[in-house]
Formats: sequence, C-alpha cells, structure tokens
Amino acid sequence: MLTLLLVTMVVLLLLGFPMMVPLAVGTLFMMFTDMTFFGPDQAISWMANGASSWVLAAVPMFIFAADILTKGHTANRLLDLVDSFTRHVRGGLPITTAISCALFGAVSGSTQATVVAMGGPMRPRLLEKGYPDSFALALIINASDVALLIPPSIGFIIYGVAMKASIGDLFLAGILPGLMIMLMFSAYCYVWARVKGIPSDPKASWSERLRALRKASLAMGFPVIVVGGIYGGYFSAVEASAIAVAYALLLEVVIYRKVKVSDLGGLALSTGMITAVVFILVAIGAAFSQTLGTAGVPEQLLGPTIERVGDNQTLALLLIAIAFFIGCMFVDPIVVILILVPIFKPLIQSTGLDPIHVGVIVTLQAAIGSATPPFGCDIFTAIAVFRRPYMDVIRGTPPFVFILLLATILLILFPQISLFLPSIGGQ
Amino acid sequence: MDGSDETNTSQGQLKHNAFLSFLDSIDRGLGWIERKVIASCVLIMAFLMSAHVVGNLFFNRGIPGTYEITEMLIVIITFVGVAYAARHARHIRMSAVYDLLNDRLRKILLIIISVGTATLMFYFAYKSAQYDLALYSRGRTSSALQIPMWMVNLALPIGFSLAGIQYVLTILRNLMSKGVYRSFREKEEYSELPTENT
Amino acid sequence: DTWRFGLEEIEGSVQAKYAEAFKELIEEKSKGDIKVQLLPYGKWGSSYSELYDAIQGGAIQVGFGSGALGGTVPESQLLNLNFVMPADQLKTVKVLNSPEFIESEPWQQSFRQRGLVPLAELAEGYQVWTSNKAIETPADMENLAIRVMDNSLLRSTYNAYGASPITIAYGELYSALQQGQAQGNIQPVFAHEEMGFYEVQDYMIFAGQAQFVATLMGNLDWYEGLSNKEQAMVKDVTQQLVQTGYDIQSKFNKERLDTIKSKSDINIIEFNAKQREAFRKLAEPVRQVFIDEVGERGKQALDILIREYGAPNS
Ligand code: NA
Ligand code: NA
Repeated sequence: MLTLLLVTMVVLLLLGFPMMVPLAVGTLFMMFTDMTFFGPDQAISWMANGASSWVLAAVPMFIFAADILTKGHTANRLLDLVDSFTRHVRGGLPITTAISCALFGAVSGSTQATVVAMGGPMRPRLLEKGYPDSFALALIINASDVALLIPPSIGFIIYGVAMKASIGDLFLAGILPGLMIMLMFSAYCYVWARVKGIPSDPKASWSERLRALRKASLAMGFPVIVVGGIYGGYFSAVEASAIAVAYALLLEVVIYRKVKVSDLGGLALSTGMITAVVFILVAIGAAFSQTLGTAGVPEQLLGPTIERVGDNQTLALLLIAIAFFIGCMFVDPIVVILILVPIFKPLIQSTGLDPIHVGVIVTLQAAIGSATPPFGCDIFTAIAVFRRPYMDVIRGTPPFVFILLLATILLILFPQISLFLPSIGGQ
Repeated sequence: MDGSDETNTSQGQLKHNAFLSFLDSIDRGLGWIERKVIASCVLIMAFLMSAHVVGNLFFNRGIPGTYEITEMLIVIITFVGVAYAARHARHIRMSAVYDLLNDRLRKILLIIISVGTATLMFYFAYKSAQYDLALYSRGRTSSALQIPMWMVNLALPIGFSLAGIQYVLTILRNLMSKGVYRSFREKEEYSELPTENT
Repeated sequence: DTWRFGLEEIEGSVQAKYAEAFKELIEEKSKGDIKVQLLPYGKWGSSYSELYDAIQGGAIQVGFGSGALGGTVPESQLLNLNFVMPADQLKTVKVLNSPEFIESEPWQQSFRQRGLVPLAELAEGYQVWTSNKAIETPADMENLAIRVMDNSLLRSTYNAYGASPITIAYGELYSALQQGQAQGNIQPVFAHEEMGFYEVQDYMIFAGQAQFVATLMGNLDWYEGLSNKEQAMVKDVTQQLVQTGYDIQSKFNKERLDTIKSKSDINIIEFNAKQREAFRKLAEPVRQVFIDEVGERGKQALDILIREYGAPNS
C-alpha cells in the first residue's frame, strides 16, 4: 500500500501537476484506503489551521519589505557598500552573500524570509558579475539554511518542546555550527571563483568606501533596527517583520521617494501571490504529514532499523541524521521534527546521547531538507520569487548539499563544536 | 508583476468566439475581486502588525486581537491566492518531463493536468463548504475578538471554487484556441520568463 | 470497540498519565470489549482547534480541552477566572467533578450545544506567575508586561491587577522573556520547567489565583450511542480518577519544581491569605466581563461554583 502511495505521488509529480496535487492526492489516498482513521473532514481542518499561524506572518511581511526595498534604492545602496569592501577578494560577492544570509538569519529565524530578503537584491548582482544563475540560486537557497541554526530559530524551539531540551542551550549550541557552515560556503565560493577564473575587481579606495558608507547610512538602519529591536527586547522576531515593512516604507516612500504610494497596491498583490503559492503547500503539506503520522508510516519504516543500532552512539546519530534528512526532503521540517523526535527519543536515551547535540544535528537536517529536492520550502520560495523553472533552481544545489552533509559528519564526529558554547554559557 | 491582468491576451482572437468573450468578461470580474482582496489583506496585515508593535513600545498597549486577525488574514491570502496564482499559472510544479515534450503533447498533458487539478479543487471546495457549515452550526469563534470562524474559513470554499473555475477555463481555452495556454489568459512562452525579481 | 483519546499534551505529561489510568480502568471494567487508544499532542495535529474539530466531528471520541477551548465552548472560560476556585487544590477538583457542577444543566448544555459532553475536570496544578521582579502586592504588578494568551478574559483580568498584558506566541516566548520584551509569564509549573522559562526569569510567584484545568469531553453522538451500562462505567471511572488525577498532578508538579530549584536559583514567593485577598478584590469585577461575554448560561455555571466553594478564604 505504501509503495502504491509513493508511486502515485511521484508519477503525478513527474507529469507536472502543481505540487499541491500530489500532496493532496497522497493525503486522500491514505484516508480512503483506511491507512488512517481520519477522514477528509480532518484534512480540511488541518489545512485551515495549518495556514492559520502567527509565526508564518513573518514570511509575507519580509517579502513585502524586500519588494519595497528592491523597487526602491535601499538594497542597491547597501550592496554598493558591502561591495566596496569585498570586491578585491576572489569570490567576494558570493562570500558576501553567504555572510549576509547568516547575519540575516540572526534576525529572522525563518529560512524562507532569508531567501527573499537577501536573495532578492543579491541575485541580480551575482548575475551581473558573471556568476551563472544556477550557482547564484543554489548559494542563496543553501546559505539561507544557516538561519535555522543561528538563533532565534523556529526549528530549535519545536525540537526543544518535543524533546524537552533546554531551548536556551539549543540556541547557544547552534551558533558555532552555523558559523562553521558559513565559512565552509565562503571557502567553496573562493575556490569556485578561482577555478572558473571569475576575476576579482580592483580594490576600492577609502574615499569611495566612505562615499558608499554615507549613501548607505540610512539603509544600514534597517538591520540595526531589526536586529537591535529583537535583541534589545523591543519586539519579537515575527513583529520585527512588520517593523521592517514600516522602515522600508519610511525610507523608500517618504525619504528617497523612489516608491510611490500608488505602487503599494501592486507590490502588496505580488507579495500576496508569492505567499499564497508557498502557503498552500504549507497547508496541504500539514494535512499530508499529519496523515502520514497517524497512518504510522514513520514507525513502519524505522522500527526494525532502530533495534539493530544497539548502543553505538555514532551509528545512532548517523541513523537519526539520515532519517531526518530523508524526512525533510519530502515533508515540512517542523512536522518532521514533531513526528520523528518522539520515535527516536527512546534511542537517544538508551544510547546516552546529549539531547542538545542531537538537536543541532536534527535542526541542521531540517535546514538541509528545506533546500533539497523534491519538496523544500526554500526551493518553492525561490521559484515563486525569482520565477525560474523548478530544474533551474535545483540544478546548482548538489555541491552545497554535499558541503552541508560534510558539516553533518563533522558535527557527529566532534560534538564539541555544538556543545562548547552551552558548556561555558549555561552557567 | 505589476498586478494588472492585461497580460498577453489578444483581444482580436477573443472576439471571434462569443462564448470565450463571455467567459472573458466574467473572468475579468472575478480577477478584479481576487486582486482587491489579496492586496488589501497584505496591506492591512502590515499596518496592523506595525501599529501593534508601536502601541506596545510607546503606549504600553498593543492592539488586542492582532494575532488573531493576522492569522485570519493569512488564511484569506492563502486560499483566495490559490485561485489568483492559478489564474497566472504560478503554482509550483516540477516541469522537467513536461519541458521535454513537443507542443501537441504538452497541450494534451496540460488539459489532463487541468482536468485533474480542477476536480481536486472542486472536491476541496465541497468538503471545505461542509467544514464551514459545521463551524457555523457549532458556533466556533476566535478567542480574543469572538469573530465567528465560519466567516474567515469561507475563504476555503470560495478560493477552491475560484481555482477550480480557473482550471476549467484553462481547459476550455486550450480546446478552443490554437497554442498552449498555461492558464485562461497566459499563453506559454517559457523562454520569455522575466529573470529579474518581480 | 476502540475509543480514541486525544491529549493536548505530549507523552509523560499530566494529561497522558491521567489518560493511561483511564485506559487501564475502562479496558479492565469492560473486560477487553473496549480498547482505548491514546493520541498525544502531535498525533492528531499541532494546533488545538484541530483536536476540537476531531472530537466534534467524531473522528476522536474523547479528549481534553483547556485554555484554548474558549472559541469552541465560550462558557469553558469560567475555568480561567481568577479567585473563583479556593487555594485548596483537592477541594477544587472535588467540586468541579461533583454532580452539582459537572452534571448541572448549564455546564452540560454549554458543551452539548457544540456537539460535546463534559465527562470530567482535570486540574493540572496552579497557574504560577514568573517575573523578573518580586510581586507581593498589586502595586508590584503595575505596568508589568506579563504575557497572556490572546484572550479577552485573561487580558481583562491582568488589566484589573494593573499589569500591561502582552500577547506573544508560545514559540517566541522564551526569547521574549530572555530579551525583556515580556517581563512576566503565567503557566503551570510543569510548563515553566518544560520550556525552560525559569532559566530567564528571577521570581516564581504562587498566588493560588487559579488552577490550570482541562475538561475531559466526549463527542455527543458517541456518548448518546453508548449503552446505559457503558455511560455508568465512564462516570464510575472518572469519579474514581478524581483523587488519582490530583495525586498525579501533585507528584508531577513537585518533581518539576524540584528540577527548577536544582537547576536555578530562582526565588519562590508564596502568597498568604492577606496577599491573596488584595488580588482577589481586583479580580472580582472581571466576573462581570465573563458574564457579558458568554451570557446567562455562563452566569449560572459561575453561580454554582461560587455556591459550592463557599466563602473565599476557605
Ligand atoms: Na535564525
Ligand atoms: Na526538501
């Protein structure tokens, strides 16, 4: 029955049906074949409630802010500034992208918002500098993953609740792995630019840098207000998304006057459509993964394997990483965490693994899964925002996924990368 | 995307067929409503959330019910947006196999996809209408503002029905016109996809 | 027959332990004719309305409803009112589960009109305040940005104390407390422990203003379809579990409080009768807000509780 389900979904997917169709058909399939006791009425309830989430509001708001900034002057002024400091380094522009995504991740907690806010202005720049689109898209999607490791992170919060692990410790534990991955991406960008012979530009003079700095001074208020506001305790990460919109309006409508009030309706409409395209998959995806969970599919697939692991810690971590990686390839990471953590909890306890360490591995897999085909919310976001066909968006991802898997192995072998900060910061 | 529906529709072609031109005028009306609803929801959300934060910061009073209304706006944007995205053929799909086919096969496959998707949309419209009636009879309200939830969740049957209609229109357009139409109004011109951010 | 039992909490929680005891008794008394299948949080979905939908629709026959139930059964907000229940936790649950209250027309009809039947009330321990400053009197609460659920009754209650209630999503709460956007928080002890909120707060205040109460409810059609014998069995079991539920929550909250004390140096304040009285006076007018919001039936249910609990300082 499970095989038939998978085959049906893959066939529909390959035929080119909108992705909501295979997800919905998979859900209804399980319901009509009595794999679960829930019926289609519950599917509707899951869809309606799945979309109805306060935390999701950050996505349209950051998209809206990014739309306004992109139509106006801000994004380019900021990038001119960064560029004036990095252009003489090989791979300077992609390195800046990787670093900006990590920094923005410290604000947003959502990988999708990062794709939009950083990817929107960065991609044209990368293309202009001669980087191919497949490289630019893959870099943006994967560098945005780091947002889930650097606090605040929705992934850590969900894991902490499901595992009963300290969320504060998890937040601390994510910082070094997040920075490590950022550095690995930067190194890859440097090597890539060298091998492909993409030239670096002449170094900018200090007067040029100062000029760029002055032009970007108001724009720099954007991260200052958003980051400062959250860490200063003035508003939450979700609320910050609305402040980002307000500040974007202040800059572009009131001060620069590049965006007119009459433009806002069109921008809002475009934002709304991109949001809908992503959220309908979140909604139907919620119904699908809930159905999958109640049908007992995860236990069915994992039960026998767990027994064979015994008390080998590395093997257990490897199994956990693989299970979450595969799960997140197909289903929304948050739902995967909610479904799989209870299944693995006994294994984690019997092998004596540190739940914080496991949390970092799990959240990293959730992050990778968001950028990995066939289903990944960041891929969907990128398709919706950049209007590229599916294959174009995923073509360049393999090297990045490889780096992320390498990072997973490093984190499994060296628990200290995750546990160092909590061990000194937990006091 | 500038929000206008005056995409690559050729008016001359439409006039040849009274039926298509009749559909066209109805579709225009529906499109107008979808646009207004979606854009207003996004603008209200931005205004409400920022006002809430500002109120919290400067007056020690947020706006009660901000969370609830925001969640409701997301529901409306999502499900009305399903129809609007179908209208512009913007739903995400994996087109790797489809892209390899010739025009004739693509047209056939597109009709099959539209029939299947329309069926699903109408089925969801029917089930979500039942769900909404149940919410109405059970009297479910939101917890902060006591807004009846059936009103908000009306977005599901309406959105799914409108989306189903879009896929039916796509079938009709492909049957009655030359060329491959990815939606009622959008003729397929893959290579012409704008590359810059919308 | 299989009865599916939906929990708002995860495995190992108060609700789960109560449900395990319920399952054991039902399966034993029915001699295996009835199986009870437990569905912890996550198994039926992730937002509470999904659970209530499933119970109202009959996909799940029984389940718990607590703080978020107000939109589904407005009168259930009665259990969120402060200083209606006495400080004595055992007395509180005994009255809530007495025929005078749970079998009463207003309480039964409040649920039955929404396709549900109230079967039992499970108190899960005091709602405890935490704060980054000591709170001994209402003056200490002046303008405190205390986090409440997006719920008009709770907002009125804390406004009445003089606080500035603020709404923050549960998932964002830890950061908000850590960074000071919220200065206080209201949860049962186990939630403070589970979510690590105590790590970022300095004081825990046991004011005894309310307990965290979950209603065990069944689908109406399912309940009406049970034989008289089965209905009697359910009543029998839930009555037997009143003391069990109290024991479970006392032990559970004590263990969690010990964990909090061992892992942090949080200061604990326990109110005396005089301190409670100061807050009780401020909370009393909020009863009218409740009545205005949910109407006559809610007032009747409230009157029953006030009558059964007797004088406030007992
Ligand atoms: Na983050
Ligand atoms: Na994926």
